[in-house]
Amino acid sequence: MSGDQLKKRALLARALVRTTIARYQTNCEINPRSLKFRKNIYGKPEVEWHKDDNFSPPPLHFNISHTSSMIACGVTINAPIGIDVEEKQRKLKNDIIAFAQRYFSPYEVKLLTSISEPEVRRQEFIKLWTLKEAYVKALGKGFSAMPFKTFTIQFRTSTLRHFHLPGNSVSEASEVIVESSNDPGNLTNNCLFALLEVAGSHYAAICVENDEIVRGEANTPMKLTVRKTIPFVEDVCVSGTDAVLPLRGIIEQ
Amino acid sequence: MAAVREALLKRLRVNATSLSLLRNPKPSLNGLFALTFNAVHRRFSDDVMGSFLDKSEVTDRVVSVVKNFQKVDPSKVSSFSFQSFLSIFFFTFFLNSFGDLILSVVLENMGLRFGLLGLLYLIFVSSGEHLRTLMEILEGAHNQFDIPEGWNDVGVADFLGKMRVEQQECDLLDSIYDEYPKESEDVTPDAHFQNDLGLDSLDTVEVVMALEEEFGFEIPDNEADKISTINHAVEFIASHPQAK
Repeated sequence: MSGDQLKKRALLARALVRTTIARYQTNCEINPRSLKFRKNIYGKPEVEWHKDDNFSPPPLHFNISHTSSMIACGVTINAPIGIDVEEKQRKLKNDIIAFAQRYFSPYEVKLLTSISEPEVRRQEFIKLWTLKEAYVKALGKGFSAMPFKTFTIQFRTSTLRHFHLPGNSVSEASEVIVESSNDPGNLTNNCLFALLEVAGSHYAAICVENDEIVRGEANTPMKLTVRKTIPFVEDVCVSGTDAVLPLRGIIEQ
Repeated sequence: MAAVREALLKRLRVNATSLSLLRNPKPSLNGLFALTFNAVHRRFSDDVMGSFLDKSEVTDRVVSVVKNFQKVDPSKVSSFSFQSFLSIFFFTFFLNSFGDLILSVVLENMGLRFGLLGLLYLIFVSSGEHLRTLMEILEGAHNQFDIPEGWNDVGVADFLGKMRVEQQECDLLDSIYDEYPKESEDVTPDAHFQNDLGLDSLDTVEVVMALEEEFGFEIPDNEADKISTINHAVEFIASHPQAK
């Protein structure tokens, strides 16, 4: 991308973050322009709330990700969030297995190697990459504090019991769990994941850290609202439409 | 055309000092294939190990890794397309007509019977493309141009003459320019991978992997995070005794 295009993209990303966060203020109208940002000690951007006697800062967290053709911003309350988007068609310049052997965990390498169809393998790679990126971004400590090799993303099919539906129907969901190799066997269940196909063209992975999740209690859904936005121009809720296709994770739209 | 020539020659970095290595190759065809891109390019001697590389050389090499990373379109590399085939032949024509002695000397020492084949091999290898078998290339040539056996003796000029008749000269020139676009001006030593070059996190990790291959040592993950500009990469590599 040329320098000009990069500048435009950076501006657009900032506008998206500002307008999105400003939208979620309930106490007062916040002018998007007035928001201030800073980086935490690891370099993760966060909002710097104005310290005021009457003003208790809302527990809003955000994270952004962009590819050349899409910018995503995720916002949560009370929970650190990480988000990563990639184009579905994105090709690696290196060989996928060589790359995975260098950067992914052995379990993930085995999973990728077991896929013989190259296109499917490539797509699974992108899905794994976005999930791992989202996890590291949610924890906010940077790539070097959590090298990708030290944790494994696993998919587990679980049955969901729908108590609220007649007949207590059951459906299958693909849960995403993460296991740290420093602490094997101890599944860090305080992270919720979601993997979506967006607009038919991109994969988006979202990771939300939530201490309120009781360890061992599986099947907690991530409550998600997805909007398609052009800052100041257009804003459409696309949750539950074809534009958002859940792939992994337990999601409630 | 001078600019194109410069661009073409830059991509074909056959280091003059590595000729000494090539003077003692195994003359068999197996030996030829054993000479990988990396073997030709690295100054491969034991006394170099354990010493630090010169910073300006490191800078050049890092910049070229990043530029090549940006240029390489995987779809062009992996598929055997008619266009890329043409541009490679045109390439050899250029080199022959400008008489680049380095390459002919290298070929002589490799003891190859088919000069043009060897040149093709070198071009593929030096441009970092996958090592396609030469047979595939020959087959392609046969299919496209109805060239008789013993084609390697056919002058490249004749070959091109055939193309002019088919009015493909413009396409040929276009494909040259596509393959070797104007050198990116953005890749300066200060360039920030994400902010200036527009690389995302996956690209940055891929660049780090390409740098590991170029310099022959592993960059640990906790250091990789800090490599966000070309200068950071240079600093890190130049201060690492294992870098080749």
